[in-house]
Amino acid sequence: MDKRKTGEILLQAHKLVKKFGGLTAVKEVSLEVRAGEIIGLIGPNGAGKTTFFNCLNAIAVPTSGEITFAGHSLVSQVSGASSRLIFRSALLFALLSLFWLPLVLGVVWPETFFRLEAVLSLSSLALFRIYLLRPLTRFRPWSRLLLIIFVLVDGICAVSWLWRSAEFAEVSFFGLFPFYPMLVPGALLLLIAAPILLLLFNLSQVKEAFGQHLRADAITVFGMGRTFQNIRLFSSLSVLDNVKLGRHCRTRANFFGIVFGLPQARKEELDSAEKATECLNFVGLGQQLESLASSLPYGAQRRLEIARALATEPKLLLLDEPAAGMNPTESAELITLVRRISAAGIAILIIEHDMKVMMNLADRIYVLDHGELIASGTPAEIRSNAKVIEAYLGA
Amino acid sequence: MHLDDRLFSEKKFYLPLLAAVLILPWLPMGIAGPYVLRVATLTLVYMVLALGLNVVPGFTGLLDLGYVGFFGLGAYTAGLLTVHYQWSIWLVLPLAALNGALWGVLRGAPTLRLSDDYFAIVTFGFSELIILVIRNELWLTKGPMGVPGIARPDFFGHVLNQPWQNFYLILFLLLVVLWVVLRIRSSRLGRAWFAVREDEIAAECVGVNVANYKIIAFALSAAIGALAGAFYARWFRFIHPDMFKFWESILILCLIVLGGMGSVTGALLGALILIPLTEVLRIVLPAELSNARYLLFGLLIVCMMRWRPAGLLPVQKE
Repeated sequence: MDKRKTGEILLQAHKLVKKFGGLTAVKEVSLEVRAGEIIGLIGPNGAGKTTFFNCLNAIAVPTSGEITFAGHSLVSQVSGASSRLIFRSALLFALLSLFWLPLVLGVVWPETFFRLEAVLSLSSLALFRIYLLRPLTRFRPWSRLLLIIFVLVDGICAVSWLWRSAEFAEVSFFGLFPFYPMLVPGALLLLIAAPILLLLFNLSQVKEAFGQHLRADAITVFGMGRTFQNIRLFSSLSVLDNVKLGRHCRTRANFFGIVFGLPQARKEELDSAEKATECLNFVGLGQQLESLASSLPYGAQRRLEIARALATEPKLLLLDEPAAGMNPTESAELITLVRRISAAGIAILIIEHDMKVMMNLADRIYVLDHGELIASGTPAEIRSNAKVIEAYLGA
Repeated sequence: MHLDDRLFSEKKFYLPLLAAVLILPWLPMGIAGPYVLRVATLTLVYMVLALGLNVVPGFTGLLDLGYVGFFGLGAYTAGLLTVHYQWSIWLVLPLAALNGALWGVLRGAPTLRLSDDYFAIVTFGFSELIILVIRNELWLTKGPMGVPGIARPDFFGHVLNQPWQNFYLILFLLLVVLWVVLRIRSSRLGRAWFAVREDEIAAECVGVNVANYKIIAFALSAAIGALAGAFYARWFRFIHPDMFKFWESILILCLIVLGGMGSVTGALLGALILIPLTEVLRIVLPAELSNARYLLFGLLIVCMMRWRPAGLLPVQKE
């Protein structure tokens, strides 16, 4: 117990609020999890436990509040400095676009911009931008907006270019000077790439600014794994493939590596199969690698989900009612499993209805009622807390 | 184990098949020879298309009703580049595929958030848009006049005039596409697509960037469609907007529905059954009934839905 208390803080939620329209599902809940702890989250039905989980790993976007996980801020407000950065790069982009437009409109080289080339080079330009912006798609609202703006500007330029060049329809287009026109789009490409490169070189700041809401897949990479209350397996895939998918966030092979069978990609594939089998053995499903996930019995599906979450190499595992619908033997097995996971050094945040399970599993318990945190403390403290007894345990 | 996994890894399956396809042009077929070979080539083109389409509805689980748009896009990219620049097919094929991929991405990026039905409508609209542009932009595509006189495929300066040469060329392309699709199917990338198909939220929670993987699927699917189109333009030597009607999208979709969504062997089998069937029916049915063959088509699909709803070679057995 004492040793655990000294563990570093892994997850810290500060005054987290989630509203659905007029309904406040989570009201200013603060919670912290230290490395290696088992934390329980209890509360009556509809208390907002699952919503709270969803906010933690960005399945739902919290209305306000802060979450820090393993040194990363998952939900942070945009600071003044970073909004200035956004403004500056937008301004730069707009200026460069203005510079670009007259070129595009064919004022400088009217005859050389032939339409087919124009279409092709615009196409490649737009593709290049999307490629450059790819890293930003990890962040939700701003990146999408930027992308849309870029594509719109390209579209407007393309339309005006085509419209204007209708006047040069008499010029014999093709084969006059086949490669020269490509030089100009090349120069333009550099020009347009400049603000984007600026963004990329300031990526840490940009991340700060754009990182208002990290998406769930990014959070998984930081080391937060989770299971679901209503089991969400990839039901038409095999058990092994389900867990291999858990390895997805720890592998890097890309399209070309896969298609050409590069050694790195092949090694990764073998590696993930091995790690996945390891995880399946850990939860006791090592004998059913090839069966369909949907064909497993209920308890095994729960364990498979845990194995899949373990394969992501989490530092913190969120378990949403892992013992729901299980008989006493199965839930006893589950408790052992949770203890073994904890012994492997993984912190666990667990939602559970079964008080007996909670009392002898959790180091500390948080109690939610109607979205509010009404108590927190060791199991013994919780058991004797008047508010908890009234709201939950039954007077 | 599914046929997909076995067919292409066990020699006793794929060697006889490959041999059968390779000797096809040399079988004694009398005067029907060129015709049979033509149908066989067409079947291979549709096999490539079926494999390409399969990536989006089959692997990623998003219904695509506008695949013919990319077919047409590839055909026109290849056709125009060939007519204007006389480039070799080995340069034109990758360019057409790239252009297809680009438009696949451009179609996919704004529609990432759309759910099934709405996405299907967008795909339909987008392909109509492509065909409308082809039909109306006379300066670029000559519109309803079509683009005649496209050069035949070439190979190291040698023009591939013979039907069997074109047959082998599309066979080669089919094998390349098959290689790519199979490699991806059993890899990290393919699994990510399956995850998106099964459950997007769970996919996010194992670290799959859903948007990225959908875009990769769109790009690959569109690139394969455009590749088939590029070959088609060089082989047929004439392209016209009417060749890329909505009906074709449905036909390609039928191929993979018949074979079983998401199944690679199923997509091939679907094309192998339906495309020659149209030709057989054209001969068997009396001339005034020749358009009724599409009725039989419909009947076939209805029967399928009744007795094999998951397709002939479904990916999973219940």
